[in-house]
Amino acid sequence: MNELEKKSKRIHPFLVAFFPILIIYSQNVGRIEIEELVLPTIVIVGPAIGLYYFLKSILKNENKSAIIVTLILVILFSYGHIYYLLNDVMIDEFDIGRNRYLIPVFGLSLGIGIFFTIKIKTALDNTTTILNVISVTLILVAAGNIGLVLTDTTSCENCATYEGNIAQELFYDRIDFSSYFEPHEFSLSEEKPPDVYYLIVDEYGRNDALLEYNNFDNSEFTNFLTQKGFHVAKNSFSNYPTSMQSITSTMNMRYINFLSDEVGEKARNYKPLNEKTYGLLPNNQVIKNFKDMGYKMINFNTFLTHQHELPLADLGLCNRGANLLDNKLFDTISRTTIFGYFVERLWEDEMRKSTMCAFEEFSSVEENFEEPVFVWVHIAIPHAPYIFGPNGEPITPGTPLLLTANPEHRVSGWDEKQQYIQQVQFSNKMMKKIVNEILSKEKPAIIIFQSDHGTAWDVNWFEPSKDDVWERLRIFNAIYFPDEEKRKMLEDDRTSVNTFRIVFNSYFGSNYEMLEDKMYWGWSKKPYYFEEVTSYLLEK
Amino acid sequence: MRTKYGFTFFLASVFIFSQFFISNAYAYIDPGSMSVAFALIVGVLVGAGMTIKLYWIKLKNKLSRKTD
Repeated sequence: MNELEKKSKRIHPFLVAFFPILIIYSQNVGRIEIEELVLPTIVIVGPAIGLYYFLKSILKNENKSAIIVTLILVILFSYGHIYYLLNDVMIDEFDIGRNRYLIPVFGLSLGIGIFFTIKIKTALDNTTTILNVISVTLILVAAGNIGLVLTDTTSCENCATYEGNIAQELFYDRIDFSSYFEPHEFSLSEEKPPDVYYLIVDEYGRNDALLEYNNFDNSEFTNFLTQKGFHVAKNSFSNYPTSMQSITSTMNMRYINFLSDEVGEKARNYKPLNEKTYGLLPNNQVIKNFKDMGYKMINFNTFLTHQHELPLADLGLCNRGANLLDNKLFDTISRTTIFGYFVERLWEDEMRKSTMCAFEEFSSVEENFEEPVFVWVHIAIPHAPYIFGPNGEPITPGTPLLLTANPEHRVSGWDEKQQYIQQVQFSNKMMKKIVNEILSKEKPAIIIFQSDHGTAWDVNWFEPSKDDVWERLRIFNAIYFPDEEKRKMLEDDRTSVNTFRIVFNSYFGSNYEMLEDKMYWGWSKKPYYFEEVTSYLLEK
Repeated sequence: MRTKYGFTFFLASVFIFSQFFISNAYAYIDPGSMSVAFALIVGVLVGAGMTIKLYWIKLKNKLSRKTD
């Protein structure tokens, strides 16, 4: 036995178990908080250790036990990645990336691997050494990725005040942004202050965009709204292209570009936006204003933009029990395993339930309070995953959440744009129901149906063309004011940042200045990078 | 010494190149499939190097025993 072999300890199963956790974290530093590594580590590495000792007690051979554990882990955790990578691979019109072909291949490989590992007569010391080296390399690559991402995110070329700090990027020590928000006086002149209903339909494009990109005429629905007294803006834009940026801006009634200076334009840590106790989204100015005026705040857990974590809410509805998939890292890891198919179905079922619950409860929740209410929900549709038909019937998506196309369904006529439109139709149906229910009540109500951004079919996120920006930022934006006179304040070319400035000025005696309409581009991996694209839209 | 620098350079190159495989995941968490594939390729290459090294040592030991 040479020296290298003598040194070999069986560390590879445990490093291989840790690798999927670390590599997925390395791709999502900031969006996944570092604390989220703990749970998957316990859930994956723990059983790997247990299995190793279990096999060792049966096989009475440490090397063989360790190799079998590694083999199982490789098969289990590589399946989803291989499935994704082979998604569009065709050999002579033969689609090799299908579950029906991959599962037998993986199953057979595992069976043969375990069989030969058990039967082999050699000591397997060399194999153990080689597997150790490979597993250490895998961990080093993933750790190196994290290091490089952190180095990049903590640099800033155009920031006025920001100084890069890796610990800040990893753990985020709260920065006080209160100086960016000026206090406002409100006066409730109405005897019965109106209830305010704000429903965000995710990725719902403006009528002209739906027609242009999806060949869908939505005028029947918008005509219905107009007849009911809504003002449907013909030329409305969101100010940012991603949900988190756009909604945070709308709910704080201001542009959020100051975060570039405060947090760093390349930072990825989402805590300034979504942290439960101080994030700008859960602790937004709109809710604070309503609370100051004695309103009760009601929200719904629809899985989106931390709606389940609103400390200012008086009532949260459609909640569900916590489960392992609430850990974003574990959720993603599990989708990339051989069990990914079932995880997707489980999650979709939860989403269907919460979406249906929110639609059903939205218009009747005010009955819980004597006081006026601000009801806010962010509905996941018509954004993917496409889980509803036009009448709300359950649909199994042909697109796994982590992928853009799935051969299993592509051949059976799956069409993403068509599925998107079906979810638009279902949203319309539910919004009609909500309008009829709210307007049949005696209490006056302000109703806002608004999208956070438009569609992004084939959009180039890194170097967007004018057409990309034009598509993504055109939003559906419909507002109902109970007083006809006040509806005149609503204009066709409003952007979402001014939504609540208009509401507060119209009904609550504030004197917010209307902000100049500006539009910015950015993407989810750099939530504080903002490139102004207003001129793109003005030219259009 | 040279081997040490070579190895460091190799790992640094690996990390830098792996950055090209960070894809955009829009609103969702990125599964990083390309990075996983890249890491596996690097791992297999390093493993192959280790295999050659182990058998080279064995061969050298055998040869030196024969000469003795």
